[in-house]
Amino acid sequence: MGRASEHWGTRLGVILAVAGSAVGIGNFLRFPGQAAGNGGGLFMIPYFCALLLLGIPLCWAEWTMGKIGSRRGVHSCPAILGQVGGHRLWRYVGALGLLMPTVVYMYYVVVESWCLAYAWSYLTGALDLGADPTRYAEQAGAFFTGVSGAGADGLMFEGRIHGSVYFWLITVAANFALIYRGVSRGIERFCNIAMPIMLLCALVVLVRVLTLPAQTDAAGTRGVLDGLGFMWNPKPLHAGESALAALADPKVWLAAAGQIFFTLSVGFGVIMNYASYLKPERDVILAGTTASATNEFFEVCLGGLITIPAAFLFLGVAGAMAGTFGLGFKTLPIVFEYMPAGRLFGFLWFFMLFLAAITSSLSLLQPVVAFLEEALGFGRRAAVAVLAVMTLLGNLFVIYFSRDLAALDNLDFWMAQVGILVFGALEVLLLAWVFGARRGHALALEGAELRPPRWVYTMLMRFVTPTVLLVVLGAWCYFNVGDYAKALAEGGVPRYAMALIVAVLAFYLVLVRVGDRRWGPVRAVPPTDRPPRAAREANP
Amino acid sequence: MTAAGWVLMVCSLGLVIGLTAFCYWRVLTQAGPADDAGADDDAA
Repeated sequence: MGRASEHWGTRLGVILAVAGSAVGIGNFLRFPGQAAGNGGGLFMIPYFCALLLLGIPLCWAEWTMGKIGSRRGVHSCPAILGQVGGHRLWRYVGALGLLMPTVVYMYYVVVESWCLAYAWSYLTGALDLGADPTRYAEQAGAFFTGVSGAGADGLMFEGRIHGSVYFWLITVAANFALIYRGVSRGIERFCNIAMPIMLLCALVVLVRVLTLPAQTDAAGTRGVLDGLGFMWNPKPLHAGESALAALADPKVWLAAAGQIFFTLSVGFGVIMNYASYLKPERDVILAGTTASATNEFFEVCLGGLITIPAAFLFLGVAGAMAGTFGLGFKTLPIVFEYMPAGRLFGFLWFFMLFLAAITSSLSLLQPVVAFLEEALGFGRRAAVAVLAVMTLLGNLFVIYFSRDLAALDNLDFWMAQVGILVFGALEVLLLAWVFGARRGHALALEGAELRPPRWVYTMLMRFVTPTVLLVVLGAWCYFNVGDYAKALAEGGVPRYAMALIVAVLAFYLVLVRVGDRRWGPVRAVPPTDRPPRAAREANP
Repeated sequence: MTAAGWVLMVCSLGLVIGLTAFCYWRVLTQAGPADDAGADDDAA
């Protein structure tokens, strides 16, 4: 150790970086589909409940743990959890906070490269669905298959490397170039530029969508208000039911909780890592709430008004309910084909998605770089190189097993759906019951302008959030794990994906062991003390 | 679009825009330096 510690450059910079981490493809493609398919506007009731009872408390918990890391001069999840838990065993639990960002990055960057490929194709005119509207869906599907390789496994199709490989290489190079520049000069500077550009692109597309003329086809005439109505009108889940019956369906509440988890990037350990680069006296409550609010703005105010209304306007119900990737990469190109100046708006849309994705993927890399620096004493160059090699192998696994996106789907399920719930539960239980909810509250309030009452904070952290989380985890597993577990038992790609996850976890556990020996026993230092930097770095 | 749809949309957007505006107003008017003076970056 003994290396200079990094910090964010500005107060706004860290907020934009954390918001950039949270705002991703799911804000624009996953949320609208979830809302429209789970009661329409009524979905917002369980959604906001989940935000208040799960999302915000977990954000506060991760920001508070990051603050503890900042005080001790450590930034990696194992080192921070060791400090919070006061025992070296927690460092091994922290390996989950390395596993999930790494594995999620392995497939997320591939999806990111699709966005770049689409943006480039719109810019150059390569994405042309032809002159026959009856063949738009077929052409859009074929283009997506060409970009993603979803038609078959392998890197080579018809004697040549498929397009996604080139765009993947460019995307990977951009990610590692930025991460190599460091927290302030790389991530923060990029997010300070990317977030306003994303906002501008989304607003331009939003204005275009809201001013579109009515469309007429065999099914009738549909205007923008009909599109907004399809998204926001309360509607029953099943024919013949009352719309309010949707609120009595546990799957609707489960979908809302899952969406909140997914969208806020909680349960990955990335917020904790970013928060640890704040100066220790900074206000984590306000910063965390502002970052969450920014994410919600992109999701509800932009994602909720653009995607589904535009798809419904041009294509009706079938186009609007095409699933996350179907909606984003098959339906929307058809919408842009119909739309006046669609090539320009298509470029703006997919370029915005690319920026949203890269600000998220950077946050998946930084926690591991910080760990390699702290645990092994690597310089940034060596840490970035090791991470690059490891993730490239994972990327190749995802790209190779591209048929029906099987590798991507399995990794996403075990990490971004099950894993974040498990790790989120461990985080909040650690902070509330091991570190102490009252100590956590006192620490969070240091330097804070927004000051939640102690009883609210402790009640949420000790009882409400863990209970809701465990119920959600149990219900999620009950409804979803069966199919994936069955596929796992049958072998093939699901089993390879699980083997990859286990191998990465084992690798990190070994490295945590090395770091644990290097760091020595955890010293029980009162959380409000702030020892000198040298002492902190000598004993994380 | 039904009246209930309008109510749900306006309330949802209003809530999120209000929260976001409030948070940024507090961040931008917060006492103390806006930057982390002395921030050191160990990138190459």
